[in-house]
Amino acid sequence: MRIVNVDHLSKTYGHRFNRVVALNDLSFGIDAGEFVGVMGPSGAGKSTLLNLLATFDQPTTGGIWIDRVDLTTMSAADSARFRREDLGFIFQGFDLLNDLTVSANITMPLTFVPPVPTDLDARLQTVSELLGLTQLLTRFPLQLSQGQRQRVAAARAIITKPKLLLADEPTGSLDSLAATELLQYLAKINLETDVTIMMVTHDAFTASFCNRIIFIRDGAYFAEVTRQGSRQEFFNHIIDMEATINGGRRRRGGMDQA
Amino acid sequence: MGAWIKRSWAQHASVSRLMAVVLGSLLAVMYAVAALIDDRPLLRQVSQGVGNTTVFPAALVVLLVVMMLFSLTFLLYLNRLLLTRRDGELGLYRRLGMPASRLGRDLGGELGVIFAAGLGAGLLGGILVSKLLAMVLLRLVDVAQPVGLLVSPPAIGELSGYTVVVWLLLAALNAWYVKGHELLLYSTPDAAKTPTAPLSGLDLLGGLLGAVLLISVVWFAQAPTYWTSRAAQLFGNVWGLLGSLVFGLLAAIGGVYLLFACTLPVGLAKLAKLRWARPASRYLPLMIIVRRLRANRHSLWLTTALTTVTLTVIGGAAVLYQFGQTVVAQNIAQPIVATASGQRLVAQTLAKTPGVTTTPLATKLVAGKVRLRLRSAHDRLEKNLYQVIAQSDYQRIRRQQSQLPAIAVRQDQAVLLTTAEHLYQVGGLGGFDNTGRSLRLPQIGKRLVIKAITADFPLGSSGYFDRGLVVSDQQYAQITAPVVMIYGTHVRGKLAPALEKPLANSTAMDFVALDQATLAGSKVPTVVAKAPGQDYLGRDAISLRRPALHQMNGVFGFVLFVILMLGAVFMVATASILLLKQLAEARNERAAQVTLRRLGMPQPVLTRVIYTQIMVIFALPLGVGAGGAALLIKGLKDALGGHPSQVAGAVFGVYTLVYLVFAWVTAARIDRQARR
Repeated sequence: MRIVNVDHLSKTYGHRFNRVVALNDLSFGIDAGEFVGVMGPSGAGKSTLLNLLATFDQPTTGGIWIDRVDLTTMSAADSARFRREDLGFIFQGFDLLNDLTVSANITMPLTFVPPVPTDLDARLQTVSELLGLTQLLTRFPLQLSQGQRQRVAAARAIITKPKLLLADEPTGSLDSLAATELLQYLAKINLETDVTIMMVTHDAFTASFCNRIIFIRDGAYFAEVTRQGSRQEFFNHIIDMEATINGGRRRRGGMDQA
Repeated sequence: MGAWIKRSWAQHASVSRLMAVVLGSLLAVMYAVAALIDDRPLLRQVSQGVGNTTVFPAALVVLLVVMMLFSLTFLLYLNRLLLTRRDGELGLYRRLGMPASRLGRDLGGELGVIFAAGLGAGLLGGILVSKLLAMVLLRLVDVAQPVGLLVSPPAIGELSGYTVVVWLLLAALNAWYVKGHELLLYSTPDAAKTPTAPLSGLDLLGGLLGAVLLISVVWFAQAPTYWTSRAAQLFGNVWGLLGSLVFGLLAAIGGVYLLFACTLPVGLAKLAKLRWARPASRYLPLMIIVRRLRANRHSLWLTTALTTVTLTVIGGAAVLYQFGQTVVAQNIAQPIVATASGQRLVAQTLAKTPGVTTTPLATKLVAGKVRLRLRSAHDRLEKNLYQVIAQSDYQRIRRQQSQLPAIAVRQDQAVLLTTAEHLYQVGGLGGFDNTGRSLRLPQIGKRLVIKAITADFPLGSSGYFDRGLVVSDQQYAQITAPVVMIYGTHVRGKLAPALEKPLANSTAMDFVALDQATLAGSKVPTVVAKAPGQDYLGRDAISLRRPALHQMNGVFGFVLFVILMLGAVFMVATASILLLKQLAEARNERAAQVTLRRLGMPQPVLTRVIYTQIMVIFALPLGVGAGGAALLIKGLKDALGGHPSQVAGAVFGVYTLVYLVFAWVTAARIDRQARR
């Protein structure tokens, strides 16, 4: 079942004398349960795409449907409700609230609007077990390592049982060990909770944990690569595509991190 | 420099405007006071009531100097707060190679623009506000005189000079700050990223200690006389009094500090764990308040102390002002109160005046003995002269003098009238009221039981030599004693000055001997026109309410005016400190607000979270400070005999309102920033 449908999406910034086209007639789709990566060089429009999917911004033309809901006609209040109920977020900078404990951070999105779910504690237990946070629930974010913080952000993203989890460079602030650990957890989430994940990244190693990679360049769809063999082979394909998209030569060796 | 100022003004428009507004407000009040000092004819009118034309200008000069010193201190604090807020930006300029001298000069120029705007607004506002202040002063001191805008070139010169001096001082300090700062020290840790240490057992202990200290203070303040007298019994008079005062002060200071640092954070953190607090609209404000309480405990303590001092001083002045008016009303209950000797002149003077109503009151003068307990002392046998009134006469007067309490006595009972009533009736812990005591009238061999004690005399206490006694009509008829008359005269409309003058100039008095024989009841007291011997009691033959009220208002009204001016400056400073602190905190919380919105928190919920936390942070020092001030003012009220204090209540109300306006402005500003 198609969960995300992006149709001839364009986004232009600036005024008529100084226009910047961030997205240019971009179309693609994501099926339910997929773990999709979006890659592209700097300025390709990855972050703009994520902002539009996350309802942080509105497209200039074109349409976006998530689970058959048209995001382009939503009011601000509807967008907030949609983000709260149907989307999960993992940001590069974790975006945790430092005044709150880990457990309060994780359950926060469920408490925005009454009624607070009666199974709140059960949900907290499930996601904290899934992400190995059970021992850390009473701590504060600044008492955790960077990797642990991003796992808290992941737990916060999935506790609402979202239809789509959006991850914006989730390993950007992590060392390689923590990044690998997080990506393994994301893969586990994708497999065990069947949540659809769309991850924006510029790193081939990170992207190799996905099932499919969509490449965009200059705001438009460029190509895509689907995982068929081992992760090493998938990683090689991604590197090849990156070389093509950049017009440069082939680089190898990133898989050593795993 | 021009480009720098333009850029900085655009970049820091809100705080620059705020500083200019605060400076302008302070200068406006100071200008109005300076202009009043320069308006000699107006001050002469104001001083008429007290008959001294030098005291008021001198007091206003002292007020102006205090305002200038306080404003200087406050501006130094404000400037430092705003400068450290820009540490990162200044550090960047320095790291990019901008010379410290150039940076200091540009900062001085920027400050100059702010000060020039503040001075312009302040002088303009001051001229506009001067008329209002002059009207308030004239109203408070009970002088009717038209007044216009006060434009005083000397005051403009003085305030401009003061502003330039303060600007130069701050500019020099800023230049010194920039020059003396090591490059690496510029980046201060971001408050939002500073780890919040979890609440520990020590915080719980501190919280309990804070609660115990504050409860002790409140308990102590309920009956200070009782506790100090107990302490005096245990440790001697000097050490007991000193010890209880020092304990009260230290407990209040420490208790309030611990309240913000531990008691409230621990309490609120416990509250946040309840199921009730699960929705983010409750949980988030609670947790943010906990952090702010702990992070800002010093400034919260300081603003609480400032609030307590300001409200106590203003409220105390208001209590004194109303006390003065009440005392006059209790003393002279009708426009003219005269004795039999004075009534002749009154009747003669008002013979042709229409609308004159005279109320006579017959009293019988007897000596009496009673054993009474006095505040902070043991029982004491008191021998006094009493003017006895029949209950029916009392009821007759009460129909005109509504503040007289309702009285119903049996034949063996009496109600004691004394101006020192509050010394004989003490409420609360260790309280007593002396009712049921037996009063003996030796001259006529009667015993009466005191049913109640009051400070309200029919026609006012000025018509009495000492105490009064209300007895049943039957008892009154049986008392054989000299009759002493009191007359209350009411004139419809205002008494013409030409008629009032001869009455006011009258120096006639009545006297009665107070020798042992009279007090023992073996000699009948006799009213005479000249002071008899050494021991005697006297009363004015004619008492006029309006001049007495005018004189009382002249003194207490002026004191209230001075205190109000000072209080206004203190209040602006206190609220501004909180406002700026909250704006600085909000800047750090901007990222968290963005996260909450991204995660789907509806804007109305976020707005509620912001308003709740800001209102609570403002309300806490206000509430605690007002509580402390209320206790202190209650002490003052009790010492003055528990007179009503509606004016103090009104002052509290106005202060609260202004404070809440500051809170609302702060919350609205932060909410607007969060919406961007």
